[in-house]
Amino acid sequence: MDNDRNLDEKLARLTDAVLNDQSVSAEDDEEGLADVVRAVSRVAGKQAGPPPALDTRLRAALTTEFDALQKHRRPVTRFPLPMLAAAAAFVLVAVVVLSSVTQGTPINLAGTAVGAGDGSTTEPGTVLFALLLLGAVGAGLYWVVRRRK
Amino acid sequence: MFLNASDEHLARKAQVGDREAFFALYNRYLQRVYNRVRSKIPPQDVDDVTQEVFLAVVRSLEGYEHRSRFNTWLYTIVNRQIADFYRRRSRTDRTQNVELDDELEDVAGGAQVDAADQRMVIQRALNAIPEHYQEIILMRFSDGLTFAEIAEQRGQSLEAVKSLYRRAIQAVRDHMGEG
Repeated sequence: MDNDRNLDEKLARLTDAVLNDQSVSAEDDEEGLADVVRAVSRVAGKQAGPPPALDTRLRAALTTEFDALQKHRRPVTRFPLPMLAAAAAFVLVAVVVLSSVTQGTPINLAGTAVGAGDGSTTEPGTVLFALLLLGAVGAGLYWVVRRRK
Repeated sequence: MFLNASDEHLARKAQVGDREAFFALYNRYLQRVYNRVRSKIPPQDVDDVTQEVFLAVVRSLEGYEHRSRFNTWLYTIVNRQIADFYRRRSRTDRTQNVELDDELEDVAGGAQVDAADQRMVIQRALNAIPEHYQEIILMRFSDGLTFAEIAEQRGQSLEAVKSLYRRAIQAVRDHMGEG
């Protein structure tokens, strides 16, 4: 076990030396792996990097592809979900309030800080409308989430 | 502008159409992707496969769900594109190994044991060893990460990483011997 750990350490040291163009001590090459490490370094090591011509070609191709995909992307997916949820909630509240106001019957807010507690009740039609709208908003959000996945 | 931004933050911005964020990621990973491709693909095809990788990244970016680190997701695409490359080649009725053998014979026939020859031997060995061995070798050599950085990225102890690395290099040697 200790011997294994010792060999692990030596190979790690040897690899660091090869990758830093330093000389490898014979003591660290106990298993004769220096040639393998050098060979792997030549094939997989960080060298000059991609040629500038490839970089230029890639940038052009990727810009074209990126822009083309953006054009076809559904606009709704550009908005973050919390923003969509907040907008939906605002619309819902606005519609409920407006519908109750136009029917001349204030929503029953008894027991709340703003409620008059006058015993008036919300029209059943308004409640049904609000529930339907809530369902529609929920379904819409679910659809958006599914499409984002 | 995006110097200190995390990969995942840049990916999120790119997902909602921020092209600059996408190219910040591209700048960060071009060399690593190129090195990884170069370690496994014949030199004449490296540029094309690198391009295929990045095009696949653009096309798949919307589907990246941030369940893994961005570089894990990216390297999955690199591996898939490399596999696709060899699948395409095998459709021409010649398997990768057969082609490599042929190429090696050509080289041997010329009595030249040169860099190209050795490159093919190493590539074949790298492609043959288990994926977790390949990954640790590529992290050290192609990505240029230190053993400590690899340990941090993989969530392993430094000792475990060095041990895994030694087994990986031994596996490369064994496969080179088979060649």
